[in-house]
Amino acid sequence: MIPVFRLAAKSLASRRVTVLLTVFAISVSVSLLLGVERLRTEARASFSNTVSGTDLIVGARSGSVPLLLYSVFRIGNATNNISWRSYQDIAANPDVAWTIPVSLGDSHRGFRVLGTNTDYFRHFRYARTRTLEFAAGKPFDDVFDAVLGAQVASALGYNVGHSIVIDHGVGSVGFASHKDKPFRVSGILKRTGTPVDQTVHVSLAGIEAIHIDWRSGRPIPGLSIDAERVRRMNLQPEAITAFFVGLKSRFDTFEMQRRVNTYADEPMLAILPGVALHELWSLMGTAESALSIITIFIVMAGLIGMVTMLMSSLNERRREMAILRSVGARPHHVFSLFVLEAAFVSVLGAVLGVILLYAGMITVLPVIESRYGLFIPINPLSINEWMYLGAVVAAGILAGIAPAIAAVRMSLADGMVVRS
Amino acid sequence: MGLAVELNDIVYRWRRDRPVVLDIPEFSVPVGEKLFIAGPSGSGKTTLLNLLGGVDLPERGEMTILGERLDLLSANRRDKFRADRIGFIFQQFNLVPYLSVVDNVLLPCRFSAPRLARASDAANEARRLLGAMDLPVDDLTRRPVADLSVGQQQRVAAARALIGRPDLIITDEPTSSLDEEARRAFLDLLFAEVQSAGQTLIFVSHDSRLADAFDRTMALADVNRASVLETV
Ligand SMILES: Nc1ncnc2c1ncn2[C@@H]1O[C@H](COP(=O)(O)OP(=O)(O)OP(=O)(O)O)[C@@H](O)[C@H]1O
Ligand SMILES: [Mg+2]
Repeated sequence: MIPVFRLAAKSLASRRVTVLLTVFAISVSVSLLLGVERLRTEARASFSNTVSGTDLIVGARSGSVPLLLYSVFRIGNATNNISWRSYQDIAANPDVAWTIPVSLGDSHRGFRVLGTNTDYFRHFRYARTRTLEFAAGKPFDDVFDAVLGAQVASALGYNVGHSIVIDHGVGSVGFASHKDKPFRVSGILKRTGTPVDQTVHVSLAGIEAIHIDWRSGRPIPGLSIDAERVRRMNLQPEAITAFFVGLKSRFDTFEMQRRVNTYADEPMLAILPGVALHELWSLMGTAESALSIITIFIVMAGLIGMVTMLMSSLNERRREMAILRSVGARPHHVFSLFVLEAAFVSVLGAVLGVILLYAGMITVLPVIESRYGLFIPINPLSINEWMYLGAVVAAGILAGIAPAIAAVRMSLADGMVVRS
Repeated sequence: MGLAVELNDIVYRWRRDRPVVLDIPEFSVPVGEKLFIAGPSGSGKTTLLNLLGGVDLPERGEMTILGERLDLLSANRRDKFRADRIGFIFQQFNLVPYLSVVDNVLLPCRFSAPRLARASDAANEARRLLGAMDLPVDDLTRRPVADLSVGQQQRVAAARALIGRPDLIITDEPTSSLDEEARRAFLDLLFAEVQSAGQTLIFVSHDSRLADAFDRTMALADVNRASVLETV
């Protein structure tokens, strides 16, 4: 085995260019395989970390996935609002420990604006138990105060004290804006790795104030109320988009859910965030496993490239085999020479693949984070990933058996009659 | 003096559907002899050497090489026998292209413990043999073998065949790609080593101009009844 080990290494070294290309093909496929796996697990983790500690989310009656999407992920829009009165009624229930009302529908330069109250900063939880913390400033106090998610602040370069204008609706920028009532940044939250980072938070009164002289999506002609006068008006909202509910006892969850869903005065829907997250994730499951299967095929293509390289070298190596046989190499030496070459190439491919993976993460992850707010830490290889690498090397060695058998057969048929 | 090679009633063909290449009723070589076997191209010289080296077996007949009945040994034992006791030199392209000169010479020692043991300090013995073959040792070791001239390559191959003093040296037209002068020089160096180690040498060639330097000359057709001489 030891003489063959040296032979395999030197033989590969002598064919550097083709070998390196093959190694590179395998390493690209390995880094893709690991990268997709990593993205999958990290996405799943950060996904389920988006909201914690909330027992129910209540909104107008629609589907549980749309409700989750707009209330937690700020994706899509609510088809209907729920009335302030119904919200007050449920919030007053003795089983309810806290509620967070949310009002959506406006945006600031592509980031969603969320109207809420200061309970949001007190009760909202993510990543199991973590609470929102301020990197700078404090919660909104005035009607025209705004609290920015970390990503909003860093992407737009805002600091506490900055003045911002809220756009009406969530369409493209500059469609229509509430220019007459600018907001002042009162605080900036620390990074959470959740959609909170991409949200501009204002008070419910603030939302009410900018719409007070608007009807059905446009300013009422002839009616313009300036900011100072608005402050003195009654800014109690009539409707909100949804609200989060924390119960005193978890055991009341289903009872409370039933009560909301059968609420007589208004059709409403209460969902359990964990269940809805699971439902949403399984919607993506098919695409996710399709992606995995594709990466496995790419790895196979890389290994087939290696087998091709070994197979096509067979003919030009006939003489080498005859020489080795003449100096005493047995068929098993010839066999292990080829299998070892396959093993070296696969191991090199796997190692280079890991290097590519980390190089890729270092360059791509900051982009993903700034663009999608998805924070993925650069961790060492997991046991799962080591197993993937082991499987790739094992598959590579197995794939090397075909050319190895071909080489043994060839050398047995040729004997020492070396013909070029 | 004993016999290094003794063949009786040998019949060989490459495959069942191919004609008989070798049909040798009797053939023997005494130990220590330098034998020249001549024969035209395609007459079966290489095929005979394949059998003598135990790479393949005849379909019939007894074959005793260096006292071992090769036809009774398993393929594995024959491989080991060849590694331990026979040195080969081929016509050309004798060297493994990706190994250095010294590594090429050392190859038999890597596959045969007895030859490694007999060479004692193998790396030194490799250098001694390269020197005996009139090669500038220090200059050569680092160069890729492809840089060598054909004559130099053949001398490296000779050093490899000789290392660890195998009992039988078999050469298959080792000089056919050399010019007259290089041919003579090669033979002189080879003979000197073979003589001092007391080895048996079987040398086949279609070029009988070299024959006079050997102890005995023989035409393959004299011992081989089959004649397939395929013209290509
Ligand atoms: N590996 C092989 N498989 C099948 N037939 C073979 C093989 N090697 C040689 N032969 C056939 O055996 C016969 C003898 O060939 P061999 O190579 O022994 O001749 P040779 O005397 O060495 O010729 P040359 O002087 O050209 O080297 C030829 O007809 C050849 O076609
Ligand atoms: Mg021949």
